[in-house]
This record gives sequence, structure tokens and C-alpha cells, in this order.
Amino acid sequence: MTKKTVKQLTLSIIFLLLSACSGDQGDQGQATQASNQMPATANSMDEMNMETSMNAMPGMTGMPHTMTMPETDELGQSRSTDNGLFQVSIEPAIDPLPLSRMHGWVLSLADAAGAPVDGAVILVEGGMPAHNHGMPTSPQVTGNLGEGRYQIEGVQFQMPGHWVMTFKISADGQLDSVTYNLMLQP
Amino acid sequence: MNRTIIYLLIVIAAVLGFVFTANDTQENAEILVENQSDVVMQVKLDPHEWSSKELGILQSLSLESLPALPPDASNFVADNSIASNFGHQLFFDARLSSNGEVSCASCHKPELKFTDGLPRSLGVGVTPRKSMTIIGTAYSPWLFWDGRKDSQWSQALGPLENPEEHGANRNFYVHIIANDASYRGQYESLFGEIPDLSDAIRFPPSAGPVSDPEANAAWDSMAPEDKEVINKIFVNLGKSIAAYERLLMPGNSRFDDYVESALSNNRQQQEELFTESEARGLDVFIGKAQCINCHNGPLLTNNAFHNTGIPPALDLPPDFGRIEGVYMVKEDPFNCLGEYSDEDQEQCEDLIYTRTEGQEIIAAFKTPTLRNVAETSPYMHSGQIPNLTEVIRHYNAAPLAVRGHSELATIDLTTEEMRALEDFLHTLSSPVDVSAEYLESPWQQLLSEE
Repeated sequence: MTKKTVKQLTLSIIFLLLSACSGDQGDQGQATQASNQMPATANSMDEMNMETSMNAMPGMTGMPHTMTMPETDELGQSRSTDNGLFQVSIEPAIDPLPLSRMHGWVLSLADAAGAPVDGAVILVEGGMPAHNHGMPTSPQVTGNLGEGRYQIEGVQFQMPGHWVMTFKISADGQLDSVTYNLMLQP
Repeated sequence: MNRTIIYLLIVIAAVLGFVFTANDTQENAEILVENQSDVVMQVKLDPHEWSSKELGILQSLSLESLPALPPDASNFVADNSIASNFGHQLFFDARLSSNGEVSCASCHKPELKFTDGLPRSLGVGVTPRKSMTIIGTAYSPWLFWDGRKDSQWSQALGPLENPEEHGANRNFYVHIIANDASYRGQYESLFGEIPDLSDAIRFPPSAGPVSDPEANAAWDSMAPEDKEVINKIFVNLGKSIAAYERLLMPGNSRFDDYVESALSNNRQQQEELFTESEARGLDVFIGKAQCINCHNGPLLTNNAFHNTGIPPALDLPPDFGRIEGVYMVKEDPFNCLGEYSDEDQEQCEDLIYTRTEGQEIIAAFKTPTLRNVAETSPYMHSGQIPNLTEVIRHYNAAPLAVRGHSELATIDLTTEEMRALEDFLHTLSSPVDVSAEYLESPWQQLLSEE
């Protein structure tokens, strides 16, 4: 047996181990939060059954609520608001987002050209579409920190699962909003 | 070189063996069960095996994950042992009631995990609500089923002036403290001298902002500065009772031990601690039944308010739960933002930001802890559900709410799953983690010493 054969064998062992591991993950239902990838056993079910079982378990831990569950959003990445009027990014004080613990967020606001916007009025709303309820709190902007940065206090999530957070922004006579899809881990 | 080949062959054999057995278990590990509603569910073949994600969830529910109790900044005697001993005596003292028969311990009996076993608690009258356990409430931002109080000390004051609970008023209680040499001494060592209250015109023996018209009128007749004297002493009684209640923490349950053995992969110990049914029930608890949506964290509560469609007690006036409780706590002079709190106002985030409107807080009630749940029947805010079997049936069926909107969706648990879930709930029982003398009336102790 040559060194080359040994190398090939080692590589195939690593490959086998890796595929065994990933197969295992699929079985445990560790579909990633954002994707619609289903557990391995889902292959044996037809689409209709899947739909029914998902609807029956709207908050099923670690599984998407529905087949149409959108991608989760990165809070830190700068995003355009719905009509492109502003750019927004968010830094939560605690990362990853904590369950049942009140904390603050800092929202950074810029205009379409990237210049910081101060003096905006920002309304924060959040909720869980699958459970038809909002947040346990009413988060509020408590201060404009300058350079387009706003302190938001009172953010709290009382349940794991898919959350939607919407910011309505009014500045310089212009109104726009941006919505984030988040996944709270149990 | 030969040796390398042998090693390689051994490794290959091991890997092949592993892959094949893994494939085997993969095929056998889950049996697809179809019930009437065509919902396909996975049943684990090995109930004691947990994925790393599941282990993470189990760990988050274990008492090991409970953070150290943060200081109660609203109560400067919260961790004072003289105050907790004084509070212990007050807690068990039936003189603190209009008929001399009701103490805090009447509805919060240590032997029933600080509940009373009744659908609706009995004070001097019949209350509309079931008594909640006190164990672990030092961690709770909201007290009562509707969260109408935001600290342990403020909570303790509510029942004292409730006409159906202790039934008297703040002047009545303050005079008891002032006239009892032992109480007066303990009080003054903690809070300073009690002023002379002997002028019955300035300090009527019975007065307070209560429903009893005479006591209420007497309270209205008092000078603001005299009311202030009474309020301060009354509040300090609450703070002393809270210093006692703060000691009542849940001890390790069989569930906590099981999590520890699962985390350390001690298979034998897992099987000794949990029956197969209990382990399956735990799987249902964290998975299919979605219990951890609300019953999460080491105290198995998210401390939030939910409408879960619990049928109202028909003979009671409508109970709107949180939507009323939130206004009561916002307006309470004894809340975190009030002058009697020792808290820096910036710390009152829960009170400041709590949601005050929205259909989801109509007839919503606080998620109770599930620690000791098997020992604290009956269930729900007015004891509407007599046992755990019926509780699980309720959540499984998810009926529509009579008032407001239920958040529940049907779960489709099988009979076996429901039984397993109930078995699991029994593993959450544990003793109170406090020295034994605090679980008895200090008055009995004093009597037996004499």
C-alpha cells in the first residue's frame, strides 16, 4: 500500500464520518432557523401532510412555523427601508437575543445616501405571527445618541420562535418602515 | 508500513461499523405514527437519548441555570436576617386579620408548597382566585395571576387590605405592631422608632383606603402627614414579610438530577432517575407539546401573561386578567416608581415598558411556575381545572377563549404522549430549599420551647 492509498483512505474516512454526522443532525430536526430544510424523515411525507403537521405545531421548537417562513434577518447589517428612503442597522445590547430578559437596542439611521439622520420619530412594534400576539412590552426610543444613533429600551421576547419587529420611521417629513424577521432560540 | 495498514484496517472497520449501526439506528430510531388527523409524528426509540440541541434546552430548564438571586433594590431590608425573622413571624400571625383567624400561611401552607389546595382561597371570605405558590417568586417581576403587583413586598400588602383575604386595614395592622413589645422592638431595630400613635383621633384604630366604608371614612379624615406615618410602617411590614418570602427557593427535583446525568452522559443514572414514560414525557414537554414556549427557564415560567382559553368560573364576575392588572400596578402607590420603593427609578424597566393595551392581554394570566406542579392542584387562576390529566387535555384540545383570544393551537397528542407528559410533570416536585424552621410557624416553635 502506497502513501497515496493511505491518504485516499484517510480522506474517505473523513468523508464517511462527516456524512454520518450530517445525517444524524438532519434526523434530530435541527433544520436551521432560517432555511426551510426539513428533517430527513420529511422526505417520506407528502407536501400536504407536512403542511398539516406544521400548522398543528406553530411554535415547534427548532422547526419553521410554516413552509413560507421568511429568511431571518441580520440585525447588524445595514438595510434599506421598504421604500428605500432610509438605511437602518441595529445593535442589541445582548447577543444572541435573550429570552424573557428586557434589554436595549441601538438603531442607527441614515438617509439613502448614507448620511446619518438625527431627530427622527421612531415607533417600534413586535409580535409573533404564529401566535397572534405582540411583545410583553412596548419598547420606546429613549434618546437620540447623535450621529443617527437612537437608544431603544424595553425590548423583551417572552417566547422562543419566529418574531417580527417593525420600525416606523418619520424624519424630514418622510415616512418609511422596515421589518425584521427574527428567530428566538429556546 | 505493515503496522500502518493494520491500524488503517482497524479504523476502516470501526468507521464502517459505526456508519452501518448509525444507519440502522437512523432507520429504526423514529417510527412514523399516523393518527386520525393524518399528522405524522416522530417517536424516539430510545427515550434517554438527547441531541445536543435538546441537551441545551434541558440545561436551560435546570435549576443549575438559575442565576444567583439579584438584590431587591426596592427593599433595603430584603437580605436582612432580622427582617426575615420578623417577616416569618408576621407571615404566620393570624392576629393580622379582621377575625383573628387568617394569616398569610392560611392560603400559603408550607406543607402544600405554599399553596392551599383549594380552587379559590379562603380568607375571611371566599376569594375569586386560587393562591399561587410563593416559592421562587423573588425572581418574578410580576406578582398575582394578573401581575397587579411588581414586588414581593408590595404583593404582601395586597391581601392584608383585601376584604375577602385578611379583611382589615393598615391602621389596624400598624397598631398591632406598635402595641406588641416584641414586634415593636424588632421593627424599631430595623426601621427606627415608631412615633406615638396613641391619639385615636389622629391615628384611628381602624382606617385605610379599603372597601369597608367606616375604615375608609376614617382614613379620609386623617391628615396627610399622619397617613404618611402609617403608610411607611405598613410598607415596612410588607418589606419584612418579603425578606422572609425571599428565602423560599425551590430545591433540586428529580428532573434537575436527570438533566445533570444526561449532560454528563451517565446512561445508568438516567435510567435510575427517570422511567421510560417520564423521559418520553420530557421529550413531549420540550418538543411536540410546545410547553416550553411559556414554561421556560429554570423556574419553568416566562413570567409573562397569556390567554390560553381557560373557561371562566361561571359563578364569578368576568375576570379580565392582565388588562386590569396592568392598570392596577401602574397606578399603585406601592409600585417600583412610587415613593415607598427604595429603588432607583431607572431600575423600574418592567413597570415602565410593560404592555398596557392589545387584545392579547385581555383575560391573559401569568404563566405559573411548573416546579411542584403535581403538588399544587387544582389549576388555573380560579382553580377551574381539578387535575393534571384535565390540564393536559385542555392544552391538547385548545378550545376557543370565552373572553379575548386564546393563543393556543391544537397539538394532537396521543393518549400515550399525554400520559407520559403527566408522568414527567411529577418529576418537578422538590423540597423547599430553606432551613427547616422557616417551614413551620415560629409561634408553634415558641410554644414548644416554653
